[in-house]
Amino acid sequence: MGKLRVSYGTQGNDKVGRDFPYMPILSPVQMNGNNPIGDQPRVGFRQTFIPNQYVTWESAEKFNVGLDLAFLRNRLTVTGEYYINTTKDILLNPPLPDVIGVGTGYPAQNSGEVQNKGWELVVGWQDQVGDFQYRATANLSDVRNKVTKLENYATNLGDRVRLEGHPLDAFYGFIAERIAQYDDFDLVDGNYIPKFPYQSGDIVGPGDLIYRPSSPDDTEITVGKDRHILGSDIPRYTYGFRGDLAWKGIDFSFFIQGVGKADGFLTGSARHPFINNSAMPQEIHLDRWTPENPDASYPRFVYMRTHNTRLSSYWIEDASYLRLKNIQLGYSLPKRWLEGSKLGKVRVYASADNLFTKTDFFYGYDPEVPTGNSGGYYPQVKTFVFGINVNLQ
Amino acid sequence: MNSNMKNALKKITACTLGALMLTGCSDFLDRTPMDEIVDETYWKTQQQLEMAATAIYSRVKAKNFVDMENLGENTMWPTTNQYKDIGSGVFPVTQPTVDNEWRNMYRDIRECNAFLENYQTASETEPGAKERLAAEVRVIRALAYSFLVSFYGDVPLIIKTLNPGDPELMDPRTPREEVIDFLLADLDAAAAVLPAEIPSGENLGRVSKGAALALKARIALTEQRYDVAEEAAKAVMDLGVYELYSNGDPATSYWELFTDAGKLANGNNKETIFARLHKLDVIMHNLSREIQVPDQFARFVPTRSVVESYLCSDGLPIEKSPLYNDDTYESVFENRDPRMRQTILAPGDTWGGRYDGRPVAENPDPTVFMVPKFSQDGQGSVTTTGYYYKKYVDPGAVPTYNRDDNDIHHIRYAEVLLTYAEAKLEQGTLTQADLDISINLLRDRVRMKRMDLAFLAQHQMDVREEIRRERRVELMLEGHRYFDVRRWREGERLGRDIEGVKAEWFPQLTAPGSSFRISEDGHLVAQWNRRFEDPKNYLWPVPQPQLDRNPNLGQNPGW
Repeated sequence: MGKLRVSYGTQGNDKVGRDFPYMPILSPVQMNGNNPIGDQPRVGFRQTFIPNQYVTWESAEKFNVGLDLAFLRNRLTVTGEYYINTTKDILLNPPLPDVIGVGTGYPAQNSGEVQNKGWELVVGWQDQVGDFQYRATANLSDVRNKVTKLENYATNLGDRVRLEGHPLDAFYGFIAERIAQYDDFDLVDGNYIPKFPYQSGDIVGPGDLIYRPSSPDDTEITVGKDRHILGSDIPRYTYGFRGDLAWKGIDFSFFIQGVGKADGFLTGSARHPFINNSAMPQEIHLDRWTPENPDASYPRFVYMRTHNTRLSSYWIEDASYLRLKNIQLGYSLPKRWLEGSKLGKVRVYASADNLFTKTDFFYGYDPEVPTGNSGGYYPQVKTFVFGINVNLQ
Repeated sequence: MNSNMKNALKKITACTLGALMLTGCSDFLDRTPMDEIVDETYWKTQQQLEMAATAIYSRVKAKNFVDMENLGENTMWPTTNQYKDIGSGVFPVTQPTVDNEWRNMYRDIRECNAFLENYQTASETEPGAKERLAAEVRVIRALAYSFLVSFYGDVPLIIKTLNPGDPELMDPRTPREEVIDFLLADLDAAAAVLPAEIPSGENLGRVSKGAALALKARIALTEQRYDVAEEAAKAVMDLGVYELYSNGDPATSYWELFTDAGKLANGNNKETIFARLHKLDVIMHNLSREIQVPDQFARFVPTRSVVESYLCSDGLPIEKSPLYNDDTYESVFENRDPRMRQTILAPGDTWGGRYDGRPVAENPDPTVFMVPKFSQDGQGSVTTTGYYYKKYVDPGAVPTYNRDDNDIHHIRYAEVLLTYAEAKLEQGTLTQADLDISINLLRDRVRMKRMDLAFLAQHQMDVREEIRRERRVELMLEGHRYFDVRRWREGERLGRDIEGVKAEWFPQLTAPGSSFRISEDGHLVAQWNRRFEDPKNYLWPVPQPQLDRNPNLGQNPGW
């Protein structure tokens, strides 16, 4: 009727980008980068990797508890899993104070611990009534990812951040409240002086984003104190549903999958116009702030300035989705029609992939693209296939 | 004993012997990789030292140094540019260039430190080669530090290679004075070892004694240690190996220095003390094309303040000279310091910018420039100020992308002469004789009226202002402006609007419906919204990512 299983184990990983991370490696510098001393092309040599004498294995501890149950003459099956995976001594390349002089090639260091706790539930039903067989399977899973320990320097404060107690590479930035209007400014000598706190160095005018300071008495926004965790791209509540039907020679199946909760964002010319000389506005940008359109969804256009387009809560998108991944209908010719011929089985079918996606993600973009995509990933395409399978004997 | 026990005994003996062998030879297992080069196997021969030094030379700023003109008000990049933002005073603490400069300079310094820590054990094939290479590396390290100190003020002084766990990573910044003391002493030590003659043959382009001393003079002048600057500059002059470049024709000598003819490899240039060399098909850059882009906006354009800074040929500034005439665009170029026409493109000059401001149908020869072009049509070079540069332009390199092989002249003898004059002035000991061995050599090269103290007094011209003007004019578009303006505490110049031509010269600028901005006194305005705050903008902020990683660095005033 059922069984309970428990497992525990540890695994090590030393595939961490390079062999010999504890030795300084030197590499040649090609001639097209070097001063032609003596008017001759020259080859240079320099240290390209800085050693870390204390580097050691990453180790992953995995603990899993599972339950398999079957009821009603094995027609109903239920499987549940719960797991805790802890990866210790994670090898990261945390940015160090740049006086160390390694450019961007920071050495790998064992610098943290990440924990994934999750569960999974699969329920299946299968039955047969006369010639009609059917089966349905549903699964739901969730995982919580958390950085549980972080050594010095490993926090990596940028748009993505590693902080203790939060998911790995969570989004980090200002919280944007709303778009500024004319009455948020004083007009002094033809210049708009904001009445609200803003980051020094930003040229702020009506139509720009207002960021929230961490305390109401603050007079300016700084990256030191006003950035917060905005979300994470690690998906939560992943689910799927699969159904199969078969009757006489006809078979039909479909597969739905989706993610219940995830965050994402788009950058670059995918989302913003005029951030460089090739980012053109899209139709959706017609709804930008202008004096005649104060209730806009997009701030005012500025040329090549980053004070609105930097990552903030304004640009975080909902990357949850539901997708009809595959649907297929087929018909196999009855065996008696094929007796005497060389054919063992003939099946005609029609199937479609990615037929339908329901999501609130930014229009036109696939919610499954890597986060921070700037328009370089083509969305997954709808595919229609018609085919015929022939088995010869 | 029976056979079982004998077998067991054999096995135990074998295992023990094996264990003993392994523990005795445990470093047998510490191997260096056979397919990579590591510190333990490098740093052995002179050739290896030379290759390491070559890599360090490649870190010296090349065209990037000229790009730093965008920090000043001698030029205006047509679109957004990080240096321009910093020079305009409108940038946040998170500006990428502020962090990149810090990170890149310390990266270069680490390479120099790695060399200096490891070179002693190498064998050399020429006596003295190791120490000479080490001295060259010291000078390049001092150059990197000179940028750091100039931008950030106090900076951590790192003179050995650091590893990830070292406590020095979290040290606070070393005071500026201490860093400078170290650099000046290091440059003296390097100069003592380096040869005095200009490197040539297979050593062409190397650092020489003159380079070490000239850099010492530059750094001392910036830090207002005028006595040290004077002494170092005079030492370079007394070496007797440098002289100003001339091809015999005062109307083209100055311009020619910055073209192919002035390359160190051609053997005619005894003025350049240190340059970033380039070579056709090996290493090239794009400066010529960027100055006279033949189908878009020119990236470097002279501004009104540049054009008005040149003296007239009678030695008087434009506001005092009867020779100055600004009725038309062409007349502005007449009767001026000859360096103006060798720096700035004048009507009638040949250029690479193709179709100028005249309609294409009226332009029989696009290699000749007559009228500036203000609007883009893809047919010729466009200017935001109405002027174009011709210095540093090699006409053959303009039509192609990234095939300019001009050397970038970092330190010229001209700079040393100017440093000498300025250092003597600031100590109050400047005499006419000093001018005659320094600034007047520059004037003689282009056959400009000499600078004469009596003449200046007679016309109520301020000696300091004239020496500063001379420096600006001579070193135009070489990357020095931002550093000079801050040294002289004249930062408010950087906060003023960037202006261009007089609007009445070109009716299309004031035509109804045109979007050109005109200032109150009738000049085209190319950039406004510039700001300069004292003392905040005299230094760059310590980059935010560095502060995040090491709060002990502290921050500069006003940031």
